[in-house]
Amino acid sequence: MATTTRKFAVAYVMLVGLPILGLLGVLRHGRNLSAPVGMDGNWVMQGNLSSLPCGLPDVAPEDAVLKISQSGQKFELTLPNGLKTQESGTLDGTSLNARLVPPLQSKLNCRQNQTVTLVANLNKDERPRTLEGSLVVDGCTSCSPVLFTAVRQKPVAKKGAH
Amino acid sequence: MPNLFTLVLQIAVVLAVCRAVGSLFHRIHQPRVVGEMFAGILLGPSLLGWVAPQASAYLFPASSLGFLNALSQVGVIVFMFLVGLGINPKELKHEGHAAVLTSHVSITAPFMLASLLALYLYPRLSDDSVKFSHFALFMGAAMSITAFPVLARILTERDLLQSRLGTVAIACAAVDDVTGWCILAYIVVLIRAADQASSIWITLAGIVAFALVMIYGVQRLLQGFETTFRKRGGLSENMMAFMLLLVLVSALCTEWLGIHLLFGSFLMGAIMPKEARFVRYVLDRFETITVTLLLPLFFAFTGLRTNIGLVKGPEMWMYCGLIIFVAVAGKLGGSMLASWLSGMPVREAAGLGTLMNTRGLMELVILNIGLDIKIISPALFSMMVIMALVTTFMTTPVLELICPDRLLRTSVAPEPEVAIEAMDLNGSAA
Repeated sequence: MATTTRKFAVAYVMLVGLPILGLLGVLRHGRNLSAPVGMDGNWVMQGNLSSLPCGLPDVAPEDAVLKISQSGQKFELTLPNGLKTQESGTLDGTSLNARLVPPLQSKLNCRQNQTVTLVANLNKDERPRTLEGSLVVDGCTSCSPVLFTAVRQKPVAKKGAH
Repeated sequence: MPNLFTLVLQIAVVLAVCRAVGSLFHRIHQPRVVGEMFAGILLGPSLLGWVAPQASAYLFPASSLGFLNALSQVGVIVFMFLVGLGINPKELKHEGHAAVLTSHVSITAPFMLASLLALYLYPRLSDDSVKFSHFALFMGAAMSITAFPVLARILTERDLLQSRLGTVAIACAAVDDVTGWCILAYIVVLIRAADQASSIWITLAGIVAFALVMIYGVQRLLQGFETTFRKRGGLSENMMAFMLLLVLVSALCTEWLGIHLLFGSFLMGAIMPKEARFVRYVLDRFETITVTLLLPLFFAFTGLRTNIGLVKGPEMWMYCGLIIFVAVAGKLGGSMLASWLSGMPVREAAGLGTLMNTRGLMELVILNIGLDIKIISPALFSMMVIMALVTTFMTTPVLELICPDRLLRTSVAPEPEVAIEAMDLNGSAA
């Protein structure tokens, strides 16, 4: 009986105690890791939005929200007029790069297979964070880049699934 | 106001697709729940939104998803109550050292491996708004969960509930789930506390006080349900409504305390009386509408949030493969090793590991919480959903392969567990 209990205690220490110690070590080590800059959420666009590529139908200025869904260095982005990433955009440091396409069945004033390139820089030290960048209509030599600024909205309080 | 036409149409489509795919999976000897989980993915951007984006936009417009989510969450609240109801804390006492070691290792092994994996994934799939410690703890909790109801279902279908394997597996899964939910509650408190002015210690003290009141106060009152059931052979509609009211109040308390609605409903189920006929009676009253109507909505809502298209390119699929590998190695490997060291024959130990590796709906519930509190990114959420599907799908065939029934039934447990015998969630979502 005593031998069984001793064996159990040894096995318990090896298989339960050591992993817990290991977990603590990982948590300690992981504090030094850095992850890509956070930009997930809604950003209020400022500036002359009527000049957005493909137009800006029926959008009130307060609804001019640029939406970003981030997964590490990749992100999906939607402009207030519905232009959105087809392939994931990329975040390199604080530089964003994405190619946008109009949504299906859109009422936007776009050519067929029109693509727009978004290039922006994220000011991560500002509170709230801001984006400054430009939108360029691909293949349109007469179109001038549309410059924009966007301010990150305070994330909604982290609540549960409701 | 919700557009009722759209909402009812959504419910009808979700029900039809879930039943159809669930039946298909049942034909290939999979629990129906795996098919229903899969059906949810089919209805989301991974398939319907990809092949027929216009139909998807018509059927599931973004503005309507809040109502679908609300309905599905009500279903999950009741479901978590039923899960808690099926868990009997006394189970582990019957099983001795083997179950204690196995259950604890089946938590620590995947937890440790998941935290190691977090070191690799954090810089790649997370961002600096999430602390590494939260990310790693969440990954650990998500990987160490076991789908207790699916496991009970598989054991029932294979007539293994009274075998040694069955009783140890059920006991371990119960411990895993309770532990996993406690860890998750702690993580949610940590994250929410960061957004609140009040101290985390006040929140924790409130939760501990609530748990103590429930366990040492409310639990005694709940015996009244069982006493009435024994005297009258059933419960009146008023009593059933009162029970449901208690579940909702408990859920609201935990939400108010800063964790999540689901913890309250789970705790209420866990402290309910465990007499087998009483448990069966309550399950019968609640599970039909929950399992056939509300849970499919949860699968659909989860599917709508799962975009396998985000797992794009060899690099992302490699991350996904790593997640599946670590999940299986930690849970299956850890449980197998511990039970083998405890004296279980190697095949039986492998069978136990396979059963413990079942994640099912419980995993989806946890992942949805993680996505809601933004501790995991949409791409990681999709990868973890794939992992949940793969580990749940593989259970039945792998168990049959390495541990045929004829071998398992030879080892009979000394004492069958009563509450679990009642826990047979209709062969459906669990």
